Formats: sequence, structure tokens, C-alpha cells
Amino acid sequence: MIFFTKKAPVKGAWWNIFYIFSLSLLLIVNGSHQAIAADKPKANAFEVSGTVTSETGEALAGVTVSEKGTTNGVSTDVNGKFKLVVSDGNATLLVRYIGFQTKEVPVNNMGTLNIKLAADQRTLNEVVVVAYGTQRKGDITGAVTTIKADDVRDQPVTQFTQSIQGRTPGVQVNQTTGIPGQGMSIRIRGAVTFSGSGSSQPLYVVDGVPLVSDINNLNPDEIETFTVLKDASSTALYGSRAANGVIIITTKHAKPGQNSLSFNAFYGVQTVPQKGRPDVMNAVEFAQYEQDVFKEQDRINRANGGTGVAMPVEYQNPSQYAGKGTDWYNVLLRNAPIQSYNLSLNSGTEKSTTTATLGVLNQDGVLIASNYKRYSLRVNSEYKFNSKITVGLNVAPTYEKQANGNTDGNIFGGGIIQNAITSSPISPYKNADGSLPLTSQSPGLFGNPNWYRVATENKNNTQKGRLLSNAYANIEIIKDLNFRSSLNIDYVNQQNQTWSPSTSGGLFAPPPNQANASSTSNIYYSWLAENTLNYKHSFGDHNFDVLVGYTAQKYHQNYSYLSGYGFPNDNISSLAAATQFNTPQTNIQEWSLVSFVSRLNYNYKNKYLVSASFRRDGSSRFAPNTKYGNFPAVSVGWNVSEESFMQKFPIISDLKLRAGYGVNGNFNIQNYGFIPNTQTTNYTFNGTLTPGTSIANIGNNNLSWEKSRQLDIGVDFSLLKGRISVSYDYFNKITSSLLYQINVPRESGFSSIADNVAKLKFHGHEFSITSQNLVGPNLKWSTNFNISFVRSKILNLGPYGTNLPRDPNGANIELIGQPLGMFYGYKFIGVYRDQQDFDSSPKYTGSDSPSQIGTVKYADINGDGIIDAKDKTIIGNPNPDFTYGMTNNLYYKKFDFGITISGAYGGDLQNRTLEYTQNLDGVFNVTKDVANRWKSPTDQGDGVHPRIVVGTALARNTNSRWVSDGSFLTVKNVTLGYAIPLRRNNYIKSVRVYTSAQQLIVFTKYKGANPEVSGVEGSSVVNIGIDNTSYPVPRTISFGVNVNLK
Amino acid sequence: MRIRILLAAALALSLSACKKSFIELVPQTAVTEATYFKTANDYTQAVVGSYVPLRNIYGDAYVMGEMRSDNATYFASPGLQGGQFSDKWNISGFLDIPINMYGTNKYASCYVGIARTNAILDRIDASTIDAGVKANLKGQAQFLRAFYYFELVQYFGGVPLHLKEVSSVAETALPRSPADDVYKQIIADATSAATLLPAKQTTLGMVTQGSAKTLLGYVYMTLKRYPEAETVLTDVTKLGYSLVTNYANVFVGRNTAESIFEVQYLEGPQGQQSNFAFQFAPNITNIKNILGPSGDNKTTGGWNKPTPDLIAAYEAGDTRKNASIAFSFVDGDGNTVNDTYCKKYTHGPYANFNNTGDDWIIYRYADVLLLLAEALNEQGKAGQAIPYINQVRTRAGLAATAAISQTDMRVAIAKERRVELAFENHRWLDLVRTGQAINVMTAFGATIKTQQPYLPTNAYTNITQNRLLFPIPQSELDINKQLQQNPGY
Repeated sequence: MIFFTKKAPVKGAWWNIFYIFSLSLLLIVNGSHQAIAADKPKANAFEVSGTVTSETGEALAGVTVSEKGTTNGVSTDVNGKFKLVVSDGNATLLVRYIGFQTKEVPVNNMGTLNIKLAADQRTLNEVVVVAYGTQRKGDITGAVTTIKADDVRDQPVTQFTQSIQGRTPGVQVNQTTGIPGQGMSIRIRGAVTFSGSGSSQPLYVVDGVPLVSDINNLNPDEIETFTVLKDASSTALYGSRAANGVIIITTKHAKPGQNSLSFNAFYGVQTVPQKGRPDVMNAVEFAQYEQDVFKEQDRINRANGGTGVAMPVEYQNPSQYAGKGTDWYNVLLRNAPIQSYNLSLNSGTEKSTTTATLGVLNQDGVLIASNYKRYSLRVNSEYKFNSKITVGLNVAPTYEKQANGNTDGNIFGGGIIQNAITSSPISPYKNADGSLPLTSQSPGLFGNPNWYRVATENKNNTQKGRLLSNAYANIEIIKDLNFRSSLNIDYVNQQNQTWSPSTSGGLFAPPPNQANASSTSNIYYSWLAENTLNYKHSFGDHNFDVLVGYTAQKYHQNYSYLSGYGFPNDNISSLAAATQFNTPQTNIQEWSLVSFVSRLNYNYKNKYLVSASFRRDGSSRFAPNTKYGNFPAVSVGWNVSEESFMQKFPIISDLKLRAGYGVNGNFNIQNYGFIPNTQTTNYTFNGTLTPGTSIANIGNNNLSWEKSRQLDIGVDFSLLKGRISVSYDYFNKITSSLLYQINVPRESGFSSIADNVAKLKFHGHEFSITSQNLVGPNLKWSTNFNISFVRSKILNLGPYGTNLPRDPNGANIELIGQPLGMFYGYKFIGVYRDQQDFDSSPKYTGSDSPSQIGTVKYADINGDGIIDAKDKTIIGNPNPDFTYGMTNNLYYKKFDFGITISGAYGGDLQNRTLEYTQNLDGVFNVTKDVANRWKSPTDQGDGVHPRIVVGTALARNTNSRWVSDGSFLTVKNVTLGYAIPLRRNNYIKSVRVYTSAQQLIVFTKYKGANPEVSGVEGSSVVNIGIDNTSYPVPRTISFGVNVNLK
Repeated sequence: MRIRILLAAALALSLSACKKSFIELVPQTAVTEATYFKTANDYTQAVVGSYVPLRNIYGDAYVMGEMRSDNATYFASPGLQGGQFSDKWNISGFLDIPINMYGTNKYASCYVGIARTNAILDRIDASTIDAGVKANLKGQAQFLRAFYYFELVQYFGGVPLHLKEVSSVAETALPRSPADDVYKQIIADATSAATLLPAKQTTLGMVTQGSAKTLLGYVYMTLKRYPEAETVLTDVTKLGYSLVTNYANVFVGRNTAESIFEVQYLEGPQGQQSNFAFQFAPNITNIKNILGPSGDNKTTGGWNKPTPDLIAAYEAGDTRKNASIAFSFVDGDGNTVNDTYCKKYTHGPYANFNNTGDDWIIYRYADVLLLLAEALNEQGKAGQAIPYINQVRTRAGLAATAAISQTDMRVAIAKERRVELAFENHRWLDLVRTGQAINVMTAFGATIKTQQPYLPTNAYTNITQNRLLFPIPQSELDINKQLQQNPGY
């Protein structure tokens, strides 16, 4: 492998590690040969056979039946049968099976034994999927949370991430927008990135394949388990991609002997709750308000010697609009159906297994003209070639279709919702004759299109086809030594078409406009080849699990964008009918990654646990001086409950202490970021366009991944034979070298350079408790509660300053010594009530719009007697004090009931919609409470809303009036199911019907639509807790059925 | 069988990935610096790219070059403030602070041009391209670098002197060089360019020997090195330039016989357009009756409004007055409004809103004639100046100048430059160069506020020596701690 030998500077260290692994591997291999040779049956051998079943009589396949004190053992077949030759008739059988209590059965010279295993409440023996393998839960030394898909089934949602809200300590899952099929933000342990091109989303690994595309289109019904790897010691094997945490998804694979066909379906109706809707003025209130606006303009005009401003006829008699007018928000809303159908086939024999899942989902959005459809298929097959070789093939094609306009965001970005709610309520969206007006215009307001037309006539359609597939072979070279080779493909073809007819438009651009259309094609794929060698063996009480591997991955993206205008009419919305075209854009992006992975897990008697791992990544994204990165981790654990002295405390059934430390990275920096490129800089000579080229950026030979070092200390214990289990983790994480486009002096000819600058510290506590409150045969009740505390602090922001962005005009600021994303602006303290108040208070004196009596009054933070940009200060903290969730499940006979809540406490939200809905220039519709504004020194109003004044300059700056507590508690899901009792039936095994409510109710003091809006990524630095108006998250009430066929 | 194929494929991929080149990827849709600068075409395109910042600089150069002076102010714009509005108002009224987008744009755009020319000049001597092509390209690059530095030194004083390509963060920041050093470099570059460049380029619009000598002439005039100015400017008169017969037509065509250096624009969607006609037109809600296309000109227009003081400066019968200034217009509702705006760059009707192809002349022959007259007069050769000033007056339909003494001639030339070159970004720098800025602007400020009562009351109250230079942009001081601000800011 040339790659590993070429890099000189770190060769020494690397070779040492490689040698150690190779040597230990050799030793183990040799040792195992001897161990196998020593295990011959003795002379007075005795044959015993039998069946292993569960307490309910179900045959259990794959149960390990062994002779105690030896390595002599077999597994049961699909009918639960086994046959074993033991050393003599007095031997004892050790019967072990995951999820069941281990049982010792004396043979007592019985030739046939029927063994019943009791279910195990304790979960230590569960096998948990971890990085590049599996591990017994009791042996895990990192911070890992597993969720079984069965526990979150039946929720009427389109994305699996919606169903894990409130169930994972340390993982903040927010639904930032209700756009169908979109909007989930996941941050594990506060993960952030400063770079707009980067991402703080975790790495998703599906059946061992790290994805390069998003996971939104994964059908939740295909999933068996989610495993969330949180600390560095459990994620370090993913090296330069692990810093944001890792979510490993395992899809459903049939087990030998499992043959079933099941059908799941639900139909639901989504509605937008009344709470959180914008409380803007109705037509009467608005006309009255505008009348005041024009009176004020008239007064100013006359005071300046003008001839006055006429009162527009529309506002002369506000009462004429009683019971009339347009509620723009309501015009955009509808009750919308969501439906989902899934068919699953499981077929398993000793030789081969197949699982196929076919899914159809169709969600209409609660905003008109939005829709999301998904068609998905997954076939997972595995074939045992012989006892040594297993091959498998997983193929999962999906097709998504999405229609959604530009609904979210502020008016200047064209956000339909915010534009609609700020446009005139006296302007109709539909004429009496049913025709649609072109515009929504009222005197004094900006020119607006009819936003109903924009919402319904603009097209923004995306089709996305995806093929996720992998093929693998597993070869048992010698006993316990396995070689695994896999080839994985993630292919996505995404096409988007937009259309804006002449009847559409935007703020300041009322129709008619030039129709325009665009077409985007985005095709990308990644292939990944992995070869690993795994040796798992026990020498007496010493248990080893050794892994070495080599992986290579390459990503390729081909992007093109074409747009045009000059359509003869609005009849054909395809780009084909355009007569004028803008310059097409094309782009090819690639990255590649080669890695060496290795891990050693060792434990003594499952009591003392050690795990050490090492990954080395070489990436095309890293600059020449930093081409390779090393990611080591080590963790230890102690199963205290295995100690004999713990037998004095029978109440404690399990107790484990663990600690881990590791290094990992975030390689979400741009491709080629370190390379100085050229760019097209054309010029014109004498009317002729002439091609020009210039250097586009300064190179950076030291550009590298973002680094994260993390310590985790945890304890897991369970009481009363597993009835109550508790898990606690403390973590301390230093994230450094955060990538940021730092400003450089413009004298260089450039404005910025990509560099690794910032350093952050996170620490936190995560706590979860699961209790089986009732375990009776008829009534079962279990509760899970989890709570997480995360704190962040900015330690360093690079060479040029103490805050980011450097010129803080935005909503958030990153300030050294402060938590991330603090709100920054003026502190609002009221309005200048009267002349005396005005004279005695500091004022803004800028030439554009100086303070007057009745305008907003801000605090003079620096005490210099005037209000200016130097008085901006921290006005809020968007980071919650803690986030929490609770799930209760009840089973009574044939009924089942579950309720999940999720919440956050203490984070602030900044409602920037108020910049427009409480603007007093008279150019927008405003909130009802603006009626209580300052009107005169004798009518000072509520002291919150300032006077009408054209050009409310300072009032539009970020200020504390927009900041409020964003604490919330949401009843995420309530499900009630009933298993229909069936008479003997040749076809149907079971039928269950249920009703499920998603996003049932949100408890919050926050007045905006969605308190989870925090977590917006992308723009400047860390932009969290900002509400710029987004698609409402609907309440969904659904009815569903699960049918299992024989 | 399946498994063997699979294994072979996996192994093959792994092995191919073992090559070191597997993780050494370069962009496929952009050329990297490492592979650029090889052929004559590469160098030509790099030089073309070095002209591009001119478009940015001249798009709003009138703010600092003309609205700062007594030639122009702006229309009232009730209800609008902040951003471009306060930044323009502040420059016009001497209220500007170091945070101003127009100062930043000029500073940054000049340095973009300097970085592009540095990248060429670092490499071109060692390149193996054709010697003739090389001389021409090197001359253009040297001219442009000199021009960008001259723009900087006139408006900001001594600035950091970058003469090599910046290739790491460490090299991005330098302290300010004394203005003298900057001028030395400008003279060196422009002198070399004047010898390398041809008198006429095959591609019209590319800079020539005349451009370089005019630049040198301006530099020497600014440094009061009049004999040297006289020499180079006299050279320019021998390069075949002539005055366009009709003054208004100077601004209609492109690259006319009078044009010496001109920023080139192109109407249309290629991103090469200008919009002077829209910026200088009144800020009314529909501009269709003035410029052609429908469009709200409220936030685009209303700038560079002629002052009564300028209008009064035109002699009776001066054809340049009506060629430069409009005295009425028809608003969107069809009503005629009697008000003035600058129409020198208005050549509509245009097809699209805010998109024109009008060029911007930086140097032209009439400018050279008047500058040469000034160079002669300052050396006490008023008599020799007369024919040059009269050439310009004759075209304007005026009689020969009556000035004879050096003092009278000085006044005559200043007045002639004011009206001949009105709205061409010469007035402010002329006032500074001739030492008249403080007197003229103080007197002007008192009057204009009574004529245009919407101007801020504190405008024109802070006209001092310090205000003859603009502040270094605050964002630069924040990043480059070696920089020191100009006094008074």
C-alpha cells in the first residue's frame, strides 16, 4: 500500500502502531490454532439433544448451547433444535441467547432436554451496533444510545428524525420548519460549525455506509435500530467525519426461520393550530391605522410648509370593512392529508435470508400547493455460500417528488408567508367574480403581487432519485478470524424546475413581470470500498476483539443550472419556451478519502474493559501540509456489579463505570479550499465582450479539518433486576481549528481567506432513566425520562479579533468568553414618553432619523450620553439551559398506549418577523397591539409601541423587544393501539389498529409559530434561535393498521 | 463466482485508491493558479481581468469625485435613509466617517486591480511569450497598477505599497508607505508603460501610450512638477487626438478621437452594464418618460444633481450647459417638472431598467489641453496657454479667452475645467490640487443649504485641511493594526 508509506514525517508513529497490530494479530491467530486443537471430545462422551423455546413456547433459533467450562458448543436451528456431544452425562449446559436470561441446565444423563428461556429485563447482553462492528452492551465503554425502531413506530411522520425527538439525551433534535420532507436539525452535544459551507449535522452511517446525501428520504419503516454515538471514543473510528457525532442506522434483516409478510398503513389529517398564528390587524383595524399614518404625514408636510397630504379614499371610512377583508395567513392554509403504505416481506432459511420493504408516502402540505411524495424499496439479502463464506447484497432505490414554493424567510428573501401576512388586509386575494387580482396594493404600502397567486402559480418542483446499495462478502479465514470486504454506492440524481409566470412577482415588483424559469440538475455519487479483518476470541477469561481495515471513498458531483426568460405567454412553464437565456452554470466537485482503521477491545471476565482505536485519514480536501490526520481514542470500563463484593447489594443488578478520551474531526470544509484558483473576469472593449481571467483566492497550504478532543465519563446502573436502569454521562469537549472565511486586509486584493481559526469549549451532563413501573401479565407500564445540559464557551476566534462576524450588524454574535450565538443589539427600554422624558434621556442623533418624542428608547450602555452602535450589547442567549424528553408506554391486554413529550427550557428566541409586523413606517400590515402605540404626550399608549414616523431607523435595528423566552414543552406523539382478537385463521397472524397524534400540543409562552425554529444553519457564523417566519409545523391526527400475515 | 467478482472489484478499487494521487484532486471546472500563466493568451486574459475593477470604481466614483465638490449634490429622498443614502449624503456634506461603503469600494477595488497586475508583473518577464505581445501586455499592466495607486494616493494619501503577489495570510498586511514613495512607484510604472505601449491599440479601449502620458501629466501636475508635466502633455498633443466637433457627441459614441482612457461598459445581461443614466436621473416612482423602461427609480436615482453654483458658472451661449444639464423632465404621470439633473450620460431610450451601455471617459483630449494650459501658466507662460484653452472654448461656441495675466489665466483655466469636465470626477481633485478646496467649498456650503433646505444642517461645517483626504476604511484599520488613520477621522 503505497499510500501508507509515502508520507515521511509521521511514518514512525504510524508504523509502530501498524506493527503492534500486526504482531498481536499473528499471536492471536497462532494461539487460536492451539486452542482449537485442545478441544477434542473425550472418551465417555454423551450425546444430548433437545429444543430451546421462550417461556411462551416460541422456538428460538440461533441460541448458543455449550458445555460449561469448555468451548464445546452449537447453535439451535430454525426450529430451536440442537444436538451436542458433551464430555459425560453429568455435564452442565450453558444456554445463552440475546434478550434472554442465561440458563445453566444439568444434563443428568438425560438424552433429550427441552429448555425454556426467560426473557431478560436487563439489557447488558443486547448486541449494539458500533463503528465497524457490534458489541455486547455490557462491554461498551463509550457514550452510546440505541433506539429500536419498534419503539417509535406508528408516528405519522415522513422522516425518522422526527420520531426520535425527545428520546435521545445529548441530542437536540429540532423541527425548524414544517415544509413537507424537510427541516430537521440535529445537533449532538452542541456541535456547531462556523463555516457556511460546513455542516454541524452528524455523520449518518446506514448498514456501515457513511452517507454523502441527506437521510430525509430514508423510509422509517426500513429501519431496525438507530445507534447514536456521542463521545469521541465511540466515534473516533470515523475519524475526520466524526466530530459532530455519528448516527448508525441498521435496516431490517430477516433472521433464519423468520417468514412473514406484514402491511402497515396510516392516513392522517394535518392542521395548523390556532396558537402561534400571526396576530396581524384585520381590515377595519388596518384602515384605521393607515388613516393615522396619513394624518401624521399630512401634519409633517404642513409643518414643513407643504400643502398637505390627501387622505386616500380607501382609509376614509374604516368601518366599511367590518366583516370583510383578507386574512392572508388563512388564505395560504388548508387541512391536508398524509398517507403512508408499507409492505414488508421477510424470508429466512439456514442458507439465505431476504427482507424486502416497499413504501409509498404522500403528504400534502398545510400550505397550499405544497406536497411531498416518496416511493421506496429496499431489498436486503444474505446468502451463506458455505460455513465459511457469507455474501450479502442490499439495494435501496427511492424516488422523491417535492413541490414547495419559497415559503420561509423574510420579505426581502421573497418568503411567501411573511410577505403575505404583512400585505394589505383590505386587498382581496380573489374577486367577487372568482377571478384573481394581479396585485395586492393599498395606498402607502409597497407594491406587492397577489401572494395567493405567487403561492399557487409559482412552481418549485424537485425530483430526487437515489440508489443506496452495498454488496459484501464475509470470509471466515480460520475460526474467529473474519475478513470482510464491501463495496458501497450512494447515487443521487436530483432535478429541480422553477417557474414564475408573468402574473407572479415579489415585494417592490408587482406583476406583470417577465416570466422566468430555471432548471437545475444535481447528480452526485460516492463509492466506498472497505476491507477489514476482525478477530474475536476468548482465551479463558481474556476476551479480545481486534479490527484492522482499509477504506477508500470517492465523491463526485456534477451540477448544472440553466435559467431563461422571454416567454411568449404563461401557457408553457418549461424552460423550453424561453427565448432568452442567462449564462448557464456548471460545476464539478469531487473529494476522496483513504483511511486506515484499527481497534482493540479487550476485557477480562467482562469485568475490566479496555478499548483503543486509531484511524488515519488522508483527504483531498486537506492542504499539502495537512494531508493526513490521525484520530486516536481510548476508553476503559469497569463492570463493578461483576465483582463478588457487590453480591452484598442485591438491589443493584448492574453497575458500570466508564471513561473515554479521543480525537476526531469535521471535514466539512469546501473541496479544493486550499488551492488558489482562477476565475472568469470578463471585460468589454469597444462594445465587444472579451474573456478575462484572474486569480480568485489566496491559497492556504495549512488548511485542515476541524478538530475535536473529548473526554467522557459515565456510569450505567440498574436496580431491581433491571426494573430501573439509569445512565449518566459527563462530557468535556474542546473543538478547535474551526474553519472560517476570515477577513484579510483588502490591500491584499482579496477580502477573505479560508482558515482554521476558532476554538470552542463544550461541557455537559446527560441523564436518562428507564423504569418498568408495572410488569404484570395484563398491565405493563414503562417510563423513560432523559435530560441534557450543554454549555458552550468561545475560547478563541483567530488572529484578527474578539468577535465574529467582524462587523456585527446581524442577529447573533460570537464573542470570546461567551456562549455560542448570543443575541446582540440594542436594549429596548420603552419610548420617549414626553418632552421631559426626551430631554432627560440619551438620544440617537444620526442625520438619517434622529430620536423624537414617542420613538423607541434604547439603553445608553456605554454611558456616553448618546445612543449609537457602541450601545449594542448582549440581549439574549439562544442556548437552552436544558432539553428533556419523556416517554410512557402502557399495555393493557390488547390495548397499547404511548405518549412522548419533548422540550427545552431557558433558551431565548429572537422573533425577527416583528421587524416588519411592528414596523411603524406605515408600509406593512402590523400586529394588533400596535394600536396601543404612543400617539401624543397625553396618549402615551402601552409604552412599548412607538409613534408612527416615516423612517423608524433605529426601531428596525436588532433590539431586545424582539427577544423572548423560547422554553417549550411539546406533546410530540400520543398513540393508542388495539390488537384485534382473531379467530383461528389460516392467513392472518395479527391485526392491530391504532390512532396516533403527532405534534398534539405545544406549551410555550413564545408568541411565534414554532419554538423549535432555532437551529438554522448556513448564513453567518452560528445563527441560532432566529425566527424569520417559517412553514408552520402541523398537528397530525392519524389512523393506522398493522397486519401480519402467516 | 459472484463473490470473486465482488472481491476483485473491491480489491481493484482499494488498490487504485492506494495511489497517493487518489487524494490529490484539483478542480475540474476552474483552472488553478498553478497551471495558469503559461501562454500569451493566459497573459492577455489576465490583463483583461485587470481592467475589471475600473467598472466597480467608476460605477460610483462620482460620489467622492463630484458630489464632494461644488458641482453636485443630490435630490431630496423623503422616507429613505441609511445605507447608500447616508453614505452618499455624508460624503457630499463633509460628514463622512471611516465606515462608508464608497470609501471602502474605492480602496478595495483599486487593490483588486493592483493584485491582478502584480500577479502578471511578477511572472511576465520570465515568460517565453512573444516579445511584442509581452511588451504591450506588460505596459498595460504597469499602466493599470500606476493608475490604481494614483487613485488611492489622491484620495487616501500614502497607502500600503504592494508590488508582489500576495500568496499567504502573512503577506496580506503592510504598513502605509509615505505618499512620496507611492508617487515614485507610480511614475516608474507609468514611465515604463509609456515606452512599452503603442500609440494606438488594435483593440480599441485598451490603454495606449497617450493614456500613460496623460496619467504621468496628472501625476506631475499633482506634484507641481510643471516642466515635466508640460513635456509629457505636449507629447500627447502629437499622438493624433482631436476634439469631437459637437461637445454632446463626446459622450455618445465609444472610444472617439477625443478619448484617451475610457471605462468600457456593455448593455445587456452579461454583467458588463453601467447605469449612470439611472443614477443621475431624478428619483421618481416611474422613470419611463425620461429613460424608456418602466421602473421605480426611488432608490437608484437622484444623485449628482447639478448645483445652482455650477449652472451659474456657464457663460452665456456655452453649448456645454444644455449638453450636460437637463432643466425639466416628464414624470411617470406625464406631468412636466421643472428641476435639474445631470444628463451628460443619458442616451436613451434604454431597453431595460438600470442597464445601460454608456462608457465613462476618464481622460480625454480636451482635458489634456486644459491641463497643458495649466502647466504652462504655472510656469509663467500664460501666453502659450491661450491657444490650448481657446481650442476648448471654440468648440463650446465661446469666444477666445480674455485672460492674459497668470492670475487671470489661472482663474480662467479653473473655470474652463469646471464646466468642460463637469460630472467627470475631476472637480474635487482639481480643487485639492490647486489649493482651492477649503475656500471654495466653505463659501459654497453656506449658499447651497439655503438653496436646498433638505441638506442636513451640519453639512459643510467641517471643511478643513484634514478633510482633503478621505479616511482609510475602518474595516482595514480593524484588521491591519499597522495602519494609522488619516488625521481628523
